[in-house]
Amino acid sequence: MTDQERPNTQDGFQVEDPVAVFAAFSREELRRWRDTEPAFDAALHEEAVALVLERLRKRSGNREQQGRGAS
Amino acid sequence: MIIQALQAENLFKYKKLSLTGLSPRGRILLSGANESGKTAIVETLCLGLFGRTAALEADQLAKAVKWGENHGSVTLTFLGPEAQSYTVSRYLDSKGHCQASLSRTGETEPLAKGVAAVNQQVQALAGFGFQHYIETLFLAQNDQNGTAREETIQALAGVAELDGLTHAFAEEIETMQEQIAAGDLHTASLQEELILLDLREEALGELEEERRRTQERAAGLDRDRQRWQQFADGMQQAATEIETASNRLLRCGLESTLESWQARCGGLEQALQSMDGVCHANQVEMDSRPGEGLRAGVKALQPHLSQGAAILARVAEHRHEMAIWLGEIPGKEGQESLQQAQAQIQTQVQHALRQRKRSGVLIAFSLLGAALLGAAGGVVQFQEGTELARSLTMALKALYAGWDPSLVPMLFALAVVFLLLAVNGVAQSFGLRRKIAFLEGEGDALDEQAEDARQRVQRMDGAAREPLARQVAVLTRLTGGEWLGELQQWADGAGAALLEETAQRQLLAQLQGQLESFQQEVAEDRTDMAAQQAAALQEQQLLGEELLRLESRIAEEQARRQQDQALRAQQAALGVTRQQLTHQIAVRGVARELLQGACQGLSTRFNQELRRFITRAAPLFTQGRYQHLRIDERLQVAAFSTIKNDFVDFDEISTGVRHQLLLAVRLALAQALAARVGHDPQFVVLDEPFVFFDRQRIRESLEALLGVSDQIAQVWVIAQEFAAEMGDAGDLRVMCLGEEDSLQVEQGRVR
Repeated sequence: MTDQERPNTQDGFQVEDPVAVFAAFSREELRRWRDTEPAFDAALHEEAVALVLERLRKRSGNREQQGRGAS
Repeated sequence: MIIQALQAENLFKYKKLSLTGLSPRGRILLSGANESGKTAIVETLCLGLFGRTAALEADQLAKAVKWGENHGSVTLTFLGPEAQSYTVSRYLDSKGHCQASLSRTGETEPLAKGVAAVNQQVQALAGFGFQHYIETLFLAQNDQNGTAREETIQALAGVAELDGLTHAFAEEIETMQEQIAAGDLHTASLQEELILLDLREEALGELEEERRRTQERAAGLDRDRQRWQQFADGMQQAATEIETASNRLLRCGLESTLESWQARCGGLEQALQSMDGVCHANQVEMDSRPGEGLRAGVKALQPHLSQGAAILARVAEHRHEMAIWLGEIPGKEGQESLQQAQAQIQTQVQHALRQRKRSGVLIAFSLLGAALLGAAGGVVQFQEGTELARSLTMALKALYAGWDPSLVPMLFALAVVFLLLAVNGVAQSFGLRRKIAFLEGEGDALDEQAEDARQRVQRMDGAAREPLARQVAVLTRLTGGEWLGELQQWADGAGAALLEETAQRQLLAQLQGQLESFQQEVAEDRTDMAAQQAAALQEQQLLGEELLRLESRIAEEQARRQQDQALRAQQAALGVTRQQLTHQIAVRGVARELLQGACQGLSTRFNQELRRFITRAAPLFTQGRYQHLRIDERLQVAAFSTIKNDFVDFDEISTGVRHQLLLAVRLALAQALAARVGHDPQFVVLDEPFVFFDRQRIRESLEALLGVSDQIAQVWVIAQEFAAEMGDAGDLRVMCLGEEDSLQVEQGRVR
């Protein structure tokens, strides 16, 4: 196997932060709906986003708390 | 996570197992024949980490204890986050009882005790649990597809967290919809209750208005009763006063004075006026005026008394004038009195006496003059030439120079004049005597008159202290009063009832009768008033009962109204709750859509990354023959066959190539897990990954293992054997021998 055939280990497996993905997706959706749907309820959208982020923060906090307890 | 040491006693086939000083980077090659204990090592590793193994369920752990032993133990040391070393120890007996503890390596104080706490802490430190380990870091020899369950893939992709939230929202939406349905049912039942309640908005007002009117009527009756009572009390008081006054009047008799009659009659009249006032001021509009007879009697009696009183007043006035005339009391200036009359008479007498005295002197002087003048004239006339006559002529000439004898008649005339003067004086003196006698007679008469007056005054005074009858009798016997006739007339007429016993008895009897009539009238009026009061009281009691009934109905209506309000409040609250729930459902619906979209994006990109990584890793294990792979969303692999010049399904590929591709997939999953939990180095366990590999492929695959990723640092590989040319000097080679129940490796050297 040549060096060219070897995988680029410097380019590691890229995993995405689900919270960041969600935040970006919701922002994109907000922009898209605002631009395309006059009756779009932006407040409802933002409330839903806030709810999800709050739940995700809570879950993340719980995991961090467990991790801190161990380390 | 990197395994630093693995030590166990009485587990699986090993009485004692000890792998220490394990390198954090490199291959650990476990080889040996079948049943030699290779898999037992990685099973012990798994048992140490998670308290269970790939082959044994949690309730089968007693089987991990070496056959014939009562208990076993494992101590695993690993590098966790931030290069911190931890030691987990587990103890289990043949009955399946387990104990566990976790501590930082070198410390005696455990971080966690007990199986559950230790498992939780190990998972937190590793960043993955048993299932993820089995499906990503551990490639079992009987694993035929190499892929993980969807849940694990989702966890690796980061979707699990969002997907879990999506499901949580779905459950919440379902719960909220159930709550809305339950709330709707409740609202409907409340509406039925409201319909049954049938509350009329104006009912309470009507009842309260009826109560107000009833209360006003009751208050009016109470006022009427009080007025009746006040009238009755006032009438009773006035009646008592009238009875008292009447009895006092009735006690009048022949021994009573006119003042007494008048006072008592006046008292009765005043009492009757009080009764009139009471009757006039009564607020119950009762047409009652008892005592008309008494009023008539008093009215009839009053003029007699007034007339008599007027006459007696005139008597008293007469007596007063007499007293003033007698000088007993001072009178007004200029008013004639006895003393003045007496003084006037005395003065006149004195004056007459003085006049009479002067008249005597005049008479004497006149007589002397007449004698002297007569004698001188006679001497001069008839005794002329005498010495005496000469002396007289000389004296006359001395007195009157013009005297001559012819003037002798003048002397006689003068003597006559003197004589006339004397006569006049006598006459005057006589008249004065008569005047003095007259004045003295008048004085005597005045004295008599005064004495008479004194006696009359005395008798008047005496009579004034007597009862009316005797007073009138005394007065009628007096004389000289202008009032006497009137008094006599009054005594014979109007005053007879006061002065005569029979007439008086009739008068008093008549008054007595009128009093009794009055008392009867009062009694009847009071009976009427009592009846009115009783009727008012009875009506009041009925109104009281009506008020109680109304109060009860009002309280009932208020309770109904409160119930209505409470029901409507509940309905409103349910409406608000429904609105909130509907809103929350909408919020969660939007959240789910966003989460699903984000999940889809995450999955897509994770799969792309996974495919990218598999595509890069697969040629390492296939000598570059399968560089073109197609991996679908379910990670099903299709390889491009240069022979068929097309993609062929996984099942169509040879078993050897299939295992090579599975190894690539598994390493990709391990890389994904390592990337997900952090960037610390990670160990993987590959149990018989090269079973269908030829030696060349084994050798190349072994070489490729550590080149796949910087994070896959420690690779545990199990195989029947590893040829000497396989691997390199850095590998830890452990040969398991079936007949040995003890295996100890220290610092890479088998002991």
